[in-house]
Amino acid sequence: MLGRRPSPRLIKPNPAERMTVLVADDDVLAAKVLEKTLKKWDFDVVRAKNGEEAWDLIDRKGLRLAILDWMMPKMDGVQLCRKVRRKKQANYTYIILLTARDFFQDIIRGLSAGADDYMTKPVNLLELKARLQTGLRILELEDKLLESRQELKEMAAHDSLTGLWNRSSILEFFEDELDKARRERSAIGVIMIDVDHFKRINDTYGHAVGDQVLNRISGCLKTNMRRYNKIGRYGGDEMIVVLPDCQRANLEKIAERLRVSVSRQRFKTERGALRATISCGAASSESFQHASLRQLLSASDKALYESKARGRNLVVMFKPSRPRKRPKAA
Amino acid sequence: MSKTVGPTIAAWDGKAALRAAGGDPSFLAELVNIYLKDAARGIARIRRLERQERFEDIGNEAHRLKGASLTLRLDGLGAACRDIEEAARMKSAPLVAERTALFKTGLEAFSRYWAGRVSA
Repeated sequence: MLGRRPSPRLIKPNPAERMTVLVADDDVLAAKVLEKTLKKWDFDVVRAKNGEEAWDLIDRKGLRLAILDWMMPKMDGVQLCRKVRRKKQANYTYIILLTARDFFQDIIRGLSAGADDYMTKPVNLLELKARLQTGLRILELEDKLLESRQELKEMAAHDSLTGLWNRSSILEFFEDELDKARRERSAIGVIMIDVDHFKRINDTYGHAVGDQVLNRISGCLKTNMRRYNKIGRYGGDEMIVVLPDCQRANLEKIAERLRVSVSRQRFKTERGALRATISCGAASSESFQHASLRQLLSASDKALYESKARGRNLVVMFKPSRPRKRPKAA
Repeated sequence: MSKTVGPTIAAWDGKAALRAAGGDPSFLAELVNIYLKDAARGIARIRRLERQERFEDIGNEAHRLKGASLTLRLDGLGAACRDIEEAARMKSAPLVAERTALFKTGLEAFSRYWAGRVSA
């Protein structure tokens, strides 16, 4: 008898977590049989009596495996398939459509609506198990695909040496935060950072050591920042920090904290522990009537230049030049 | 193997039904009891819908009962439901009534057989 036979194990995408299967069927008997069988196969089961209930569960719980009856009250299985496929959801839902229909045209209709597989009622449980195995394999492949896509996305957005956001990503973030600051009438700050005498480090110890110093400084800066600030590599040994919702007075304090934290550190390299300092130029959107990205970058760059001119290892805040007073008419 | 439990319409493949219930006789009994109650309610519903000439709803109800019958491997009763569906598609109230009566006869035969089996 089927139930007493040792059943082959179903391999799930993540064996550590029980996968939940949605069984949507207005036929109580079929639903009960499926529920009991699926539980025996170590699945969790949620049931829906009609298409609307099923949609609600898929939408709310993001269920990834669904066994849907074709004919259901309120919304049939085919309509439900279409609705699920139209929705842009993070994870794919593998759908097996069940029906007493077995006309060729119906199979085409069901699959065209977005069902992944198709079974006729009454369900042969061994066949269901094999088809669920196929579904799990596809979900596993999807998980791997999403994972590698995420890794690629991360790689494309980050600088490979320092692990900081790369130039285009940090500028994109800056642009978005600047828009938000304009909408919310809040202040935004930017700090441009340059490693002092970085060329000398490279020339003295070699580029490998220079890279190590840059990497350690990046790490030091990251650990001394608020979670919602972002730091990116702007180019060479230049980095920028974007500070949303940060007023001028606070901006200066943060820049100073970053400067001090670097100056106090000894950075481990293959040629021993080295000291390094940074120069910072900071600019706040409060200095402008309608600050643009270009204005803020240029302002922080000017301040950074001044910091270097004044001897390095220093924070300089950008101060807008006062408008010239017009000579009074005689 | 099919067992005739009265009129042919009530032919029941008990072994296949037990297999479908995962080989668990008490679960099969639970399913049969649900089916008997549900099918009796379904017949009453079809009769009411027939008086209102709501043929689409009759078709849906008959379809649901067909699924339940086939789940329990009551193939004769499943076929009777398919005939009701067809009569509903033809929008023929007398044919719906006639075929529903036939389904009822088969259901009662199976119900008697089941009751006898349980008491034995």
